[in-house]
Amino acid sequence: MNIHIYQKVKPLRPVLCLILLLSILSVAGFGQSTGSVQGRVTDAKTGEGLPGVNIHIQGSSFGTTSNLDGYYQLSGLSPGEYTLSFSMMGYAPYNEKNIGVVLDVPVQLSVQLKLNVLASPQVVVTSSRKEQDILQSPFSVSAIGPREIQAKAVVSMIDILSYESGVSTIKGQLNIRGTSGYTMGAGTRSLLLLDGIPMLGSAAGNVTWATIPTSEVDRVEIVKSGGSALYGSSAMGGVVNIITRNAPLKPETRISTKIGVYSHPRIDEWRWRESRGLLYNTEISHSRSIGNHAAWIRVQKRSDDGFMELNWEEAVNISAKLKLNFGSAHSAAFFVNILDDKAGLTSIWKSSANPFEAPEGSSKDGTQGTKIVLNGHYNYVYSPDLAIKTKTSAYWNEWTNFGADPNYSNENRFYEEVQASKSWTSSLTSIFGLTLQQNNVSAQIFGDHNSSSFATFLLMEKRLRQFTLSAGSRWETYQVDGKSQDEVFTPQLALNWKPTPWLGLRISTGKGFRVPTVAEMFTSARRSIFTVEPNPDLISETSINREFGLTLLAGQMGVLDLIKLDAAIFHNKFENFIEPVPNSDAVIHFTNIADARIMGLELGLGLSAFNNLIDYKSAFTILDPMETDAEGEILDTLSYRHRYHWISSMGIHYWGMDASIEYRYLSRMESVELFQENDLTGADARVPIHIMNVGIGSSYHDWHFLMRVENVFQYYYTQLERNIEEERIATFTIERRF
Amino acid sequence: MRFALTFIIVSLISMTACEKPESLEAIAGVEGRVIFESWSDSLEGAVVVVFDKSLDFERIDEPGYKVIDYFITYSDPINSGTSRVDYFIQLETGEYQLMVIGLLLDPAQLLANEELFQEIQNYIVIPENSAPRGIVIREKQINEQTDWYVQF
Repeated sequence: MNIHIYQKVKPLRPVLCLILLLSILSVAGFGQSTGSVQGRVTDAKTGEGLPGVNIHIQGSSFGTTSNLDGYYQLSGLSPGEYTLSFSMMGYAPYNEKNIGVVLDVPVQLSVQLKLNVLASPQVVVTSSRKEQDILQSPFSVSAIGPREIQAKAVVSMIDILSYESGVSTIKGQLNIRGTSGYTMGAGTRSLLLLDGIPMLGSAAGNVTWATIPTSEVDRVEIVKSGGSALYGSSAMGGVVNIITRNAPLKPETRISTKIGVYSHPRIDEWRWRESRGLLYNTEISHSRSIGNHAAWIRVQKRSDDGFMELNWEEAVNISAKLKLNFGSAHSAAFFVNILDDKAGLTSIWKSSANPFEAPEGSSKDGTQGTKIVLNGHYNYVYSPDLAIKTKTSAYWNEWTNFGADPNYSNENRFYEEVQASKSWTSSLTSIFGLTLQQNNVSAQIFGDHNSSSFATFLLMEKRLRQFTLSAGSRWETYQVDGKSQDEVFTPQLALNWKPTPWLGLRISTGKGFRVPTVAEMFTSARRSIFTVEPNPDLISETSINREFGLTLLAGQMGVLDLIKLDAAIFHNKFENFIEPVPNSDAVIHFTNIADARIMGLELGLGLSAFNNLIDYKSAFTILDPMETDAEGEILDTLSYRHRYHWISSMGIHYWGMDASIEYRYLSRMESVELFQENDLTGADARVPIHIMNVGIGSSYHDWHFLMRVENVFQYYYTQLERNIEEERIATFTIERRF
Repeated sequence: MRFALTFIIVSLISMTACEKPESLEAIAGVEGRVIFESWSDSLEGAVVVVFDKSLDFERIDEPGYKVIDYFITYSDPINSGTSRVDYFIQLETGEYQLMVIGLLLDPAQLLANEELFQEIQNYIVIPENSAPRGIVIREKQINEQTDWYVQF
């Protein structure tokens, strides 16, 4: 057991070591003779200089960005041959190969970037912890670009993620390919990262979506296969990485107001309030450069009556990001988010005859709290071959429930990560590092507990002509209340084959794991008519993930501007799967049920045609989620999973107008856990889900207008027993950028 | 290209054909309020039960008379000591008998083990001041005025 070794490690020691190492490397860097590359990046159509273009040496972290007029300079390069990559959102990436750098004579290189009609990014950073062509990713990964996020003007990222292939949500809980199901908000098998830093709550391991500044998000990447080898616990079912934007070089102020009106229920008997519920969301943000540095700040005020009685919410959210650039070698970023919110607290509906009303005696139930996120990044590029990144995060969350069941919780989490990227040769790279995390919680329903983890990880990547072989592993140890909880080794192996510039095939296998959260181990509470009791004997669950997939990405074929096809077959086998299970006394324990397996198929198509006039996206996912015994014999269907999932959307862009239609289908859940079905009366509220949204937007000078109607047909359904889901809402957003 | 256009057309047809398929709709049933005037210490809880209209309550204590044969459904169980509670029971169109019964076992157990209703006779106590009440449920209508005042 290495527990004693771990106990002697002080969180600050690696940081001090890192600082010492950086100091040595910095000193060592002086006096070396180097060369440079400089030039200008322009728009191929207009010839105007492009500010903010990312320019980096392929296979390394060494890079810079173009200035306000498109000029750049990349200095500090050792003599040799390099490939330079130019990328910018909305433009096709461009590589310039065989650039010979010599001492003291700058290489002149100016390039033109062509507009790329594809809305989603082609370069991802999450699946291998570095910038990578999406066709060379070892796992299924989808990316959502800023255009798609802005087109919907949503307040919460959950409304974006629900329309991605293989992703579903139940009461804010993320489900990638059905791995999480519904765990009553305690524990998730999908890890959420914000700029690469874990954002799960320290007690329940849940996500507070309101801490994500949606309008400042640059892109979202969803890795749909197990990511434990790189990201540890909770990543066994996939990873969502939300990447916030850096401030543009030109000063910009944005004022946005969104007003929404909920419909009355179309069934008269369900009408529960006299006037229609309203939603207001106002945001003001300003971004500007300060010398070489850049910053943005955003203030958001939100007020939402909600579609049902206890769905109301009020919040003030302040977030800011500061990006510091100290030449090509050093950069740092700081992110802060302060959320103060108050909301109704819903458990179940009053009855199926009154689904929008709260049960008697609970109509004043609510929660209020404050959440603070502080994230810091520091990047040091020692040479084109070696870069070091550190990530530091602190998270505080305190909330109090009021009403019939007063309650409280104070949580905090501290996270530290050091990562080094080293290119050994032009075809062999490695990424290695370590992470430390400390969680503390003091809550009425959990008690006082702390947990900590320490991990090291290594990923090696070797390119052999058209093949990329990656092998990695992570070793992690966890403690809960000072007692060793688990020690896990999670290897992964993946092979990518890119036979043509437009096709990538991938096959991967890896081990995943998840340590039970404090909430799963120690919750003692009464929820609705159920009692949840602690189970401190819970052990970690593990998984073996396998995936085979292909991605085709091609452009300019007749009227097609671009076509993207994605297909994947996956098989995830879980051991000691943790699920909330009511016993014969209706007391719920989080329990290691025997085993489980989820296998399935995913098909996706995206295309853009007629000079970007029409874009279309569709994806279909089939899941087979089964509880099994140790021998693999099927025992039952896993609860809270949809077997079939289909999303489809189409946009038409003409004369400065954007019209869109989205559709989401999820098949009826085959199994639920909390309330038994009533076979005698057929009183079962489970139905398939069919949701359609439409929107139309227009831009005029600095102004942008968007009108959207969500759940157009007022389709009523439940995902969680006795909880009706979203009512139709019409929203109007007006925004000015200047 | 042909495949892509076919895919889009099929998708659009499917999307527009999805208006209100199997959406939750208005339902029929009975709702009201139960007000407990007193509780017996021996009781763990209570429940509003719906029986078939042919149940003969005069024979409920007879050995061999199977109450379960007439059992239709029940409300969410009510914890002992509750002073008042709203209830709703979803029912299909028809005629039923309705009454509140006391439970000698934990209501949560009943909720988690529907098969316990097979032995319901062993666990129930009939309130002192309550008799079964006949109700008629019509299509998509809620029978709303079925309040109970119960003494155990």
